[in-house]
Amino acid sequence: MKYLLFKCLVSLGVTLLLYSNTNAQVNNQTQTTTNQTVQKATVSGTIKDGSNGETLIGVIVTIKEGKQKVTTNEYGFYSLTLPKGTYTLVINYIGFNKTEKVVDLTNGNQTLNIDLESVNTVTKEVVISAVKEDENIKSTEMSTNKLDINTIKKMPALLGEVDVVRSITMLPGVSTVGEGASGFNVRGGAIDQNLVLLDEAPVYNSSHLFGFFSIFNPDAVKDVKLYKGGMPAQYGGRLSSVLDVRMKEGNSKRFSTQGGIGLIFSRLTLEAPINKGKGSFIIAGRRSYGDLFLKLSSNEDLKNSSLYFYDLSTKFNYKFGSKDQVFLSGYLGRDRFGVPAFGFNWGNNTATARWNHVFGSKLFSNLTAFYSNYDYELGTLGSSENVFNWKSRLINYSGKYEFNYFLNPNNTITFGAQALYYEFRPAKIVTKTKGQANPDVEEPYKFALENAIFVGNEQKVGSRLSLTYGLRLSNFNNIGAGKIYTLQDQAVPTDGKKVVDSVVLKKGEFYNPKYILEPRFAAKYELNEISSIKASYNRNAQYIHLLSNTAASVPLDIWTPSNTNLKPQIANQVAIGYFRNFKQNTYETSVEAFYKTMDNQLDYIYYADILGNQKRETQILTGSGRAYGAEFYLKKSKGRLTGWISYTLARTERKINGLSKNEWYPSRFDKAHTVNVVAMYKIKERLTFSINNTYSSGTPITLGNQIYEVYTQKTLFNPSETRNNFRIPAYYRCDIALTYERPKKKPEQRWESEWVFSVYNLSNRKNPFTVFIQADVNNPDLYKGYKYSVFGSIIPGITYNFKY
Amino acid sequence: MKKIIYNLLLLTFFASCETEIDLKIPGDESPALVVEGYVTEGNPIASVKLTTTIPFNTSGVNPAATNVESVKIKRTDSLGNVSTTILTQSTADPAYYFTNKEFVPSYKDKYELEVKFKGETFVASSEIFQKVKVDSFSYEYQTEKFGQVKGYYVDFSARPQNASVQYFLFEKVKNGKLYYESLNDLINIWDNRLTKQLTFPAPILFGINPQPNQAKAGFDKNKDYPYALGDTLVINTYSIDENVFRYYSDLLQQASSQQGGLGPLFAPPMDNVRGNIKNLNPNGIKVTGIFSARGLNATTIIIK
Repeated sequence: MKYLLFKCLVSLGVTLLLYSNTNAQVNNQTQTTTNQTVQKATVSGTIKDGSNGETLIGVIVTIKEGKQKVTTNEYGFYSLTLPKGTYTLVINYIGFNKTEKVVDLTNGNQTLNIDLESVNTVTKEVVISAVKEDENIKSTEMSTNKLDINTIKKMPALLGEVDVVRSITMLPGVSTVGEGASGFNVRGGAIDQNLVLLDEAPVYNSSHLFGFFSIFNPDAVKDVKLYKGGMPAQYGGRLSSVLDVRMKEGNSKRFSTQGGIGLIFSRLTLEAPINKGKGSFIIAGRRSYGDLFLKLSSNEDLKNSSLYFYDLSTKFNYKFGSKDQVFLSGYLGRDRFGVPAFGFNWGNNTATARWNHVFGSKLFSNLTAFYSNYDYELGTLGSSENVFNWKSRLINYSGKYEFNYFLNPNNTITFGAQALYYEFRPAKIVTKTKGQANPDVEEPYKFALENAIFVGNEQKVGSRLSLTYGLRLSNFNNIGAGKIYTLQDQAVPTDGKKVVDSVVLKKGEFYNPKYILEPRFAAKYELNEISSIKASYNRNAQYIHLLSNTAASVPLDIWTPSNTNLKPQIANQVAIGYFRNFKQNTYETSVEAFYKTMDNQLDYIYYADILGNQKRETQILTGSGRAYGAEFYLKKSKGRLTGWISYTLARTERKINGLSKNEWYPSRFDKAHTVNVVAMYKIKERLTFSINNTYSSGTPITLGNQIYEVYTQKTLFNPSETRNNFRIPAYYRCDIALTYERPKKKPEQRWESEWVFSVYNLSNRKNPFTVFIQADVNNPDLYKGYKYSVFGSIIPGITYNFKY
Repeated sequence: MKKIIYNLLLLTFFASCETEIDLKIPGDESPALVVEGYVTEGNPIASVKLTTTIPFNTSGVNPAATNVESVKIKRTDSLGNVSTTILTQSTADPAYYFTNKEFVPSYKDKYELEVKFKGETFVASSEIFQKVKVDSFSYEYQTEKFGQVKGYYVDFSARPQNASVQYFLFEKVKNGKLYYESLNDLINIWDNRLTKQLTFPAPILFGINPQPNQAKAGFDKNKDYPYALGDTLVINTYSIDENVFRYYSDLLQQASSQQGGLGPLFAPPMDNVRGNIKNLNPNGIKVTGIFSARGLNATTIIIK
């Protein structure tokens, strides 16, 4: 069956490619000469922001004399193959002056690097798109959101601190369980079903401070793109989404710096060219102040407490000639909490090395090697007598080779391969009792290798129809040494599955190989210049799982690989959409409907024992998931007033063998209605007001309706034994911000600064994260319901940002 | 562990709050049978408490179960000898059923409880494991530190005598009353499977020395906590079986979300606490609770 599917898709792809190639030639011949062999030449190069040398992603380069166009890739590279002649390249990119460049291809291939000029500051409008203004109509991309970092910086933020992940939760189809929950949920997916990439390296915990902030320093971020569906074939490994965060390369024109001082943390970024612009670097750091305040205390113990996080993002790039460029980037971040008796810390480290090479003028290659590490540690502090220390770690090593082949103006083919090696170190426990060391306890490591080969094509078929299609073949292997248990096939929510056998793997031994074919397809048909319809299908496989049995994911949660007991999760998603713009693309609207099925979804037996349990798979129940809904989106991209309104109507459910009487039940992050309104209004040239409004239905939790007492403790009892049977009240929040850009004393002054005044939860609503029961203060025999609100009041913030 | 994490997080400045709400929880409101039974090594009085659940939002204690037809405990000793004892209802509190004085539970005994209620039969079983050996104990006066009040602190060193004994409950009785300040002090349990330690590690000592909530009414900063001069402390270390441990562990997890604060964020779904009682008729009356046979080491410490 899979072979047949594969064969059909390959045949379809080849047929379309041949048709498209022929079609491209026919079009070109019409413009030049007939009945002759058309000689072609290629113009290629890189498009950059002229002010700082940053390459620009997703810029559309159009030929004035024809309809051919091409889009720059993630490294700002483009390549257009045309019949020999002279052409005018037109680049119309929001935020930059329209640029036209004449290129003479009569004598063969040409390299043309283009620096775009920013729109004059005085006349600059607020723009909230990082792409061409009708890109939403013209592109095959759907279920994709690209948030410009400048837009993110204008949005009201918690304590005035701009945050990438919190900003994307204002987009349709994206939600969180609540304040203080790590990660985000996309179209009914769990947080581990999002592939979060920082310069191509996966990040396993994208949260600082338990999810109140994300690890991405906005000053170092260049591009944020979220795929909720219709993912290109080069992405894989997660079911629900890809959050692709690209760091800036660093200013290659001059030294520059920017930063900010806020209530909770400050940040500083330095950028500079290397060797007259052949390269550049950026280094950006943040640190919170919690512990510094504690040091002001007269209490010695408070002085010695820790309460902070920091992160350092850095990137270096260098060009070796016109065809080669090397990038080295890294991230280092850690959260630390501790009182003298007990402490806790966690952090991510990533390192990415990339080599861009252009073969000829049509084949762009990117070779990537990365390392990613996530670890946490908790235990006693200060005492050398009685020690309890727990460490856990997940390490990745990966190599990826990816090619973009700009075959002709109608076809851009992407292909490549990736190998990803996992090393799971679930727990190492070191203890001492009264100064005497007990034997260390270390849970055996787990090893796995995930491979993928992929090929995809972006193809224009005629003037109205565009297709993006591809195929990804992924493979996963458990690797020894290790032990894999065989579990009894039972599903009882109160009891763990029984171990009936086990397999011991020798060191380096491959075991349980899995191959999954993941077709991807997206199509766009332009109804006219201002509207299009789109459809997409994608199948995704996920081989690693985050085991989390709590309402909010915490850093203690454990990643574990698929094996014979935990089968790979597989999602199939179809989406259709209608896109229409109004008033010269000032208003963009869209409506998308999606339906997603998910196999091998995880849930847990009652009070699952996951931490420190070497047989933790015995605590897991599996079944199916489904999510479906519609997303409505209205965006105003230009003018003094910009922003968007989104409404999501969705449902996400699980049917887990053994739970809730084997019937469908809502998942913990099910929200029927979500409405987001984001608006930014430029009051004066240097004064911008922004406002967020967000409303969502309450999420479900499990509660019993009966109460009893055992061992002096009142406890709820749920006779129906259904999970997520109760919904907490709905959520509403309004935030505002006022940004004042300080005027320059002289026009040539390079120092720029702004003040951002913000109020988070202006509505002063006590939004519940969850509800719980507690004895009434005046009547201990009466238990009452209470809601817990992470933010129970208005939270003002003030931040000073500067740039030089 | 997660409680410690969110307590640390409470140190941050987020303006969290708790507000009372009218909680209307849907579902079947038929009362379920609640069982709480204990057979303790060396104690001739085994007790079984039988009550029924009441709807949430109802004031008052759980009523004693009525229409109880019989309560029996079957004992199988290490030689395979079987005897059955019928428990009699307490005249002081109709919820309780007790054994008589001929009943002498000991190490390696296995016990089965059978309750007949409203024509249905409920059963549970539990085993007495070997009690721990206490190596030493001591106490010392400690001054006030961050997160720790001034007073006498007990240092207690005990260890399992047998590797197969893995689960423990530590109970503090101060001056004749069960002593705890928080839920973690009350349900102070230890799973020794993970570390397989010869002596219990630091977390147990935290529970032995409960810390009072200084903001709570009744706290007297001039007094010594957790123990003061003249206090008599009995540390009951129970060796319990896996199912009983699981019950306490579930209870602790569910109850941790009742403490408010950030607890609910880090709590698992509030599914029913898993007891070891079952109704032989799976479609019959719902039942919850625990029947625990347990080894006991009682260590008395007088602060003087």
